[in-house]
Amino acid sequence: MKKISSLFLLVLSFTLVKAQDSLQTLLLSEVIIHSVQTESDTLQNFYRANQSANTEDILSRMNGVYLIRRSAYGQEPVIRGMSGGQINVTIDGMRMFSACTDKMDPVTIYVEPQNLQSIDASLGTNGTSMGSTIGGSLNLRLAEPSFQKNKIKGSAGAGYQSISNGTNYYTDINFSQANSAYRASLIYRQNQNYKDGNGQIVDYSQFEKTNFSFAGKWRMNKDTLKANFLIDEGRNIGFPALPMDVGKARATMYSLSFSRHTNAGWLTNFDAKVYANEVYHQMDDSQREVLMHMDMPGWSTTYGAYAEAKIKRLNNHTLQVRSDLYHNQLLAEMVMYPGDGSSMYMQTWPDSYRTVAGVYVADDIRLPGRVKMNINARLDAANTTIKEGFGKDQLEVFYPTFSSSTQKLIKSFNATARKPLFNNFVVTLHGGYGERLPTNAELYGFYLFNRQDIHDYLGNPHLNIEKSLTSDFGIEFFNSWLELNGTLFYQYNPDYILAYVDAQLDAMTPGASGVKVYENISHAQFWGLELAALVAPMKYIQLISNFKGTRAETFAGDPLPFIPAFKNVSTLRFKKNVFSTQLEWEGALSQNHVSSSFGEQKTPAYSIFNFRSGYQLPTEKGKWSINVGVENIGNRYYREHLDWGGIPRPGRNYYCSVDYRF
Amino acid sequence: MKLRLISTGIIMTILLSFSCSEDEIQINPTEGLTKIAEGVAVNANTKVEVWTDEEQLFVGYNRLYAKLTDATTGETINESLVQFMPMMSMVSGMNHSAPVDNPGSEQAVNSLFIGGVNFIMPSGPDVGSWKLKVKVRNQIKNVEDFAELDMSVTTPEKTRMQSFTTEAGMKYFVSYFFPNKPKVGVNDIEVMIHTKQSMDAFPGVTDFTIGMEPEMPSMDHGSPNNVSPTHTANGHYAGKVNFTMTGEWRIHLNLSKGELGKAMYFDLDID
Repeated sequence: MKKISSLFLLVLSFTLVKAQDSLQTLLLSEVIIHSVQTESDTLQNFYRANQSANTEDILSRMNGVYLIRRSAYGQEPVIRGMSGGQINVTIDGMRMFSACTDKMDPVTIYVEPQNLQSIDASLGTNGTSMGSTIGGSLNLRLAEPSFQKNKIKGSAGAGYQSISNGTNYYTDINFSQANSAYRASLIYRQNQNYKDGNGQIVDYSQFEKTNFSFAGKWRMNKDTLKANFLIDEGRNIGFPALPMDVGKARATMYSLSFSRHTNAGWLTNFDAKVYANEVYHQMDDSQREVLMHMDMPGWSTTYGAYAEAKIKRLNNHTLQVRSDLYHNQLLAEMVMYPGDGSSMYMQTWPDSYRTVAGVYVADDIRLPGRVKMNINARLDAANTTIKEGFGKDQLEVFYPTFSSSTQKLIKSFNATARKPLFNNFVVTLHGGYGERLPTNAELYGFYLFNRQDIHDYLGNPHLNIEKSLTSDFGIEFFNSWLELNGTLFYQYNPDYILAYVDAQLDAMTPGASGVKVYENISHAQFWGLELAALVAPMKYIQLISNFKGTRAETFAGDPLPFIPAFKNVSTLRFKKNVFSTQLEWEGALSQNHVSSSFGEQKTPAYSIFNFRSGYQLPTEKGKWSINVGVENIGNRYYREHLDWGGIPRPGRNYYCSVDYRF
Repeated sequence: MKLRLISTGIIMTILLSFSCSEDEIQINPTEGLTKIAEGVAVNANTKVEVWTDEEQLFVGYNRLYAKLTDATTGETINESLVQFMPMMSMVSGMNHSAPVDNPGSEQAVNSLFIGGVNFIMPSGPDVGSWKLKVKVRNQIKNVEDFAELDMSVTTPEKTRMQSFTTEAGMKYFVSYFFPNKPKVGVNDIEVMIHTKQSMDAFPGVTDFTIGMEPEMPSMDHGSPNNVSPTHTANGHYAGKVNFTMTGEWRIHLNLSKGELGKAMYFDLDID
């Protein structure tokens, strides 16, 4: 494999230039979700196939992005086989961290498509503009109020899903004046237990949530001031693959940002933001039959700020600079109630905090021969501290002499070159180096039960930073009716963080078969590919297909756990005037390259079809749209490889939605 | 940044003012302790107060703190011989003492003389009454005398002392003690083993080997990296016991000495 690494010493460039036309958009790892007025129909409908789709449904269709599924709702994003602390998930550039020790609340669940503007994905070490990463980054950009001719614009809609007897309602409204604009959105979702392809009810797969956001925008000459508030509250979210459910998950976000767009002087753009967000997460098992009930609340609070500037093109260089700072505080507790006797308390995430300050510089360089280069580098200084007291005392049982604070410098560097070849090809090479901090859970986590491999997990405060060398090779072809895009990647991750059984330790959780402790292993390696095709042979017909897959193993050749199977989603779409239909095929190869020591089972291949249709009815003042469709037409019983606990996916689902935009 | 500097400045000022005021206030040596009894050793003209860690004395090992003052002037006495002599007068008419640790020095530590007594039975109308004689010496007059104090000793909710008799007729008393209040984390623990030589003599036994294993009975798990107590002095065995969460714990002890082997456990609540 090492030979290959030197061959592919480079990936796709992720020039975050907004797409000019829909064809181009596919090449970029950016999905425009909700630009009401300039809806790029084709891709919008590919990613957000069902109008009732939530953010994670959209993520699952993005190239290089996968989801670990433990429940019908609350799925954890994975980029090319990496997840958690290996990837960076930001909301509008804000750092935000889950409050659940069992990863039930990836922060992506706190944003709904109705308050999303776009999702930017960067794969591999290249996504460091928002923070250090080795696996890639996702930035969920929130919708902004817009200045429009019509004073009031908005939409309202409702949807129904038969498989879970689920309903969802959504509305958003934009109010605009000469120099100020406001936007509010409200979403409510409710789903009961769904049925699998065999007609069996999947217990504990229900969920309910409400999401509200409000934003204001004020402009003064070249300056814009924005304020944003979002609150999301999930209730009674079932986790069929886990022994506990979510009683309540509440996130609030606040931000205030300033931007100046100018052509005078050496700056072209300047943006700055201060923000705060807070997550409260409550795991409970009150609906489960268990020997001993327990409560597991968690809190995560983050404060941060950033400023970024684009510097006017000088010769062939366009420089972008960003500096950011965040402070995150984490605490998770566990209280167990034995039938008789006093309750038992421990801190599963000991009270700890982390402060990171960083600088990011990127240079876009135009070279002769139409070659474009992007070079970027980031340096972060990080301090991680476990507070004196209960949590630290707990961990001293295992590490009698560990120091409560650690300071690290995290470095990353990337270079990407894009060169057009002939008339129809673009070749891209990327090479990069990245580092990432161990998460507080990996450092200090205390007896965190993992249902998949039935082990308790223990943190290791002596963990070192994990590193990655990434190389990508991409090739694109396009003509007037066809666009093809392929990327091969290889990642070599020294000091990869993985947990291994410590036979000396006894499990704490009843039923657990042992304790695993995180370690830095010599290295792990990842390789895979992403292919995408967009075919538009006639005006009314488009075919979009993407294919993605990853392989990964440790230095010893053992398969790494939670590596997705090769998967394809293809959509054939026909649209004429007010009517559209869409036939989708979704399938994955079997995954037999599994890690049995992490409790993984082999996953068979699957193949399902979906059918969707839409009808639009313009009226004098607005536009009605009606969507109906059926997913998993064949009512197949299937699961994907990253679905925990062998929990099957929903069977045949009929859905419909009606909405009105004005 | 400026704000930060200012707030740091404010915090520093507050901290400094606190540390100043701490210097001025004398730390009360009996802070957090409970006074059990007081009396006067008349000939030594010394008032004796006895304090302990918990709210009352119990069957098991109790740390005792003697505070001596001049009976006339009320001035604290920091140098004196101090000896504890517990005596049980049983209803049956029998009298006996109990295992005792006397202060190791004639110099008070922070105005207190620290020792301990393993009360091997409770007091009560049906069983008998405990008295504690505290012997002191007036350094100036070179006169020794004692104060005699009544002690009330209760049976704790969870056993903190156990005794057993070997086939050869040797009686042993096993008790435990935490130098600091036990908490979640790593804790120093002392196990004391005494034997009964006579009604008045309960010397420490120095040659036991102790195996120690904590357990949470309701969870069926223990904790790692414990250090089994080994003998230090006078029948005291020091080790480390680890608790990984609050709740009810059980400390298993395996005592062995030559052919003799004895297993027992103590239950306790960690909060």
